[in-house]
Amino acid sequence: MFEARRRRDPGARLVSGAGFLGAGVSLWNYFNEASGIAGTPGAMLVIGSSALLFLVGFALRGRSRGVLSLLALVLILGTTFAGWLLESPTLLVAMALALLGWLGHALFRPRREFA
Amino acid sequence: MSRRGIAMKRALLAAALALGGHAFAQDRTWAHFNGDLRAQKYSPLAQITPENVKNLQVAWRARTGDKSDGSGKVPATDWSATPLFVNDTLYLGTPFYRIFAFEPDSGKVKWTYDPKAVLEALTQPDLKNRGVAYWQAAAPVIGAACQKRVYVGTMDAKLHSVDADTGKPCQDFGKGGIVDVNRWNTLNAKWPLSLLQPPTVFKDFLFVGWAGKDWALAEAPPGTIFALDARTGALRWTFHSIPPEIAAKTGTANVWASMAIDPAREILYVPVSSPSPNFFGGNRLAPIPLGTSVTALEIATGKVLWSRQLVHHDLWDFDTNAAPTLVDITKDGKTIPALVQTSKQGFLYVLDRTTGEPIYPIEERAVPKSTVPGERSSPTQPYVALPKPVVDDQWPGVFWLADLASLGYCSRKFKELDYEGRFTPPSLKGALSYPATIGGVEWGGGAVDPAKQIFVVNNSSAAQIYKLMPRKEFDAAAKVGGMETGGYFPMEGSPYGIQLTTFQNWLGMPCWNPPYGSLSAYDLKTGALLWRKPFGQIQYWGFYMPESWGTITIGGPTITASGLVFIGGSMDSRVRAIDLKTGEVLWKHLVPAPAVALPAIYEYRGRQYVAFAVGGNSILLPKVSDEVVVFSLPK
Repeated sequence: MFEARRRRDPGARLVSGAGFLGAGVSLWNYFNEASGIAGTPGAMLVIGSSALLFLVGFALRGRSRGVLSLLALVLILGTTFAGWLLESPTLLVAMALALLGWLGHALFRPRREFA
Repeated sequence: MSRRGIAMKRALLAAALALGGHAFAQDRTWAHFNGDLRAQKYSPLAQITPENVKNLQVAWRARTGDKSDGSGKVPATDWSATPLFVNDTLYLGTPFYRIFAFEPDSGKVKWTYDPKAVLEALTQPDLKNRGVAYWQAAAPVIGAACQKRVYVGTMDAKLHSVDADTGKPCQDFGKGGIVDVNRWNTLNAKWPLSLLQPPTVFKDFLFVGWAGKDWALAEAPPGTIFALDARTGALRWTFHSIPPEIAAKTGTANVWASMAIDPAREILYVPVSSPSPNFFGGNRLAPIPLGTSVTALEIATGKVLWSRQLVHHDLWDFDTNAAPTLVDITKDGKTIPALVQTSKQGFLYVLDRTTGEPIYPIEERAVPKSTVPGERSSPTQPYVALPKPVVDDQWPGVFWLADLASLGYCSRKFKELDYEGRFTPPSLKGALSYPATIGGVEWGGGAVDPAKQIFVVNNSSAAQIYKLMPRKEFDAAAKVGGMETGGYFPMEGSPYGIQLTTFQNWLGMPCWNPPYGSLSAYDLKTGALLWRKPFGQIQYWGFYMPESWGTITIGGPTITASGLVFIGGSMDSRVRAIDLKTGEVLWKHLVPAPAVALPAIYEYRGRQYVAFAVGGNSILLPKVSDEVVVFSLPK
């Protein structure tokens, strides 16, 4: 039953999905000359942080691991700040979704004790 | 139209051509490096306005293929070519010294010309090109070739002339369409006279300056301008900036930037750079009155009409580096034929262009004395209070964030340096120079709206450290740190080499307070500063810094009659349209690299276009491109 609820943890799924979206957008920015940040270390950094967010979101599903949850929040806020400095609005949208997901996960995630 | 009307129109056209002397009255064309011969960078076109500029979009873009990031055998490219629109064609020179002729509304290539130039950094560290020049015969022979010509120079001093309609070499120019300017390089010929700036064209004259190798030698080729016949390339006259009795001991004081012409008075205005070696003057203690000056020459003969030295005994490499802008100023009810000379040292010199006398006062002020053995610095320097300098007198102080990030390195380093304000001379201990040799204002100069008499100029506010090192110490340090790439420049032949570094912390953050670059507008009638705004954004590792910081800028603005300023020139690879009244950015567009070239504004078949050559510049960012991007309003 817990496994089923874990899969349903929509907040964590959103974090993961937003991380995937962020990594995709950042990859596009890295290789697209018109992005203004093509080939820059900054773009590479957010590819990495978004990809990591995708993995952390995946690992978070249905779990209340404090460290992972904190790591996800740090990644979201850090990537948001980087996205703001990189002037990448799509990455900001992705991180806004991730934050919503993180809040959803933190507030409404399935509790192990109820499983 | 009646026959009489047609005849009248033809007569007027002929008169306009004759009066203009191929000056191309400021109309729908952009026929010269600075738009027109007076270097106003002004277009009377007004289809694009402050109200509709937000709708501006890419009309066409084209790539030349001529770029290098320097990672291979070909040196990096700096593309600073103003596109020329004339003869219903958009002409561009490339950093590989090729010429492209584009259809002005589609970007389709009409023809290209390849001079098969040597692609080596023979003088400047990068392959540079600031474009091409255009000439047309006053009385063209119908059906004959080369009645209209385009010229391009190369790093190894070859000047090429091709037919503007076909791109074929003009056989009557030099040998097979090429003049080797280096054949006149006869004194201290340590390197070729690189022709990176296109010639200035007036009537049947080509005025050719040249660029050399900076900071390398004490004894170098002396500054010269060659006036050539536009058809044959024959030498008409030569101008020398250094007195012959000391020319062998020094060099440069050349004219490497663009020039301006007063077509009515037939006067050529030239910005003369500093003599060599650039940061030590012990081997050139005799006066060089034309060094670091703006100088007026009689076009027919090259005779000096007047000259005003802007820096005495220059020890800062404060080359006069842009064509003065010629404009008539109404002051105290009188119309004064004036010029505005921008400068690396941050002053704007507003002079009567017929006499060289200042319209706003220039005073000689006492400046710090050099402590370097063998040096004898000038006790005073010309100082301009009005118009307010683009760079303040005192450096803006240590930037707390850079200081914090470097655990106090910036403030500790500042305490070690010699600094006594503007014109602090280079020293053995290390002297802070603010403004520094990168400006102030660079070769793009300023632009003027001649009707409103408003002058607009972009500038950098940069601090650098100049440390002279005795020869032995220098050689040892340069061996470890790296000649040129490590900031060590030999000034061979002088007792000192120089270590020149930008004052920044280990992260590359500037140690001084922002803004690092600004855009300013002045009322030339009063000299008053109308507005000043931080310009552009620093981009580091892809991250954009706050707009209030501005950015180091290279390139220059253009102005339209509708009250817009178009400018690239920033580190953030954006081109912008700015409200002339307020300085507010009304439109910006991302391009593939910093667009340091002056934009060209033209009209073709009823549409106004704004064209940028987007090539990058290694001083701003290691980012290059080979693209020309042209904007217009939607159809």
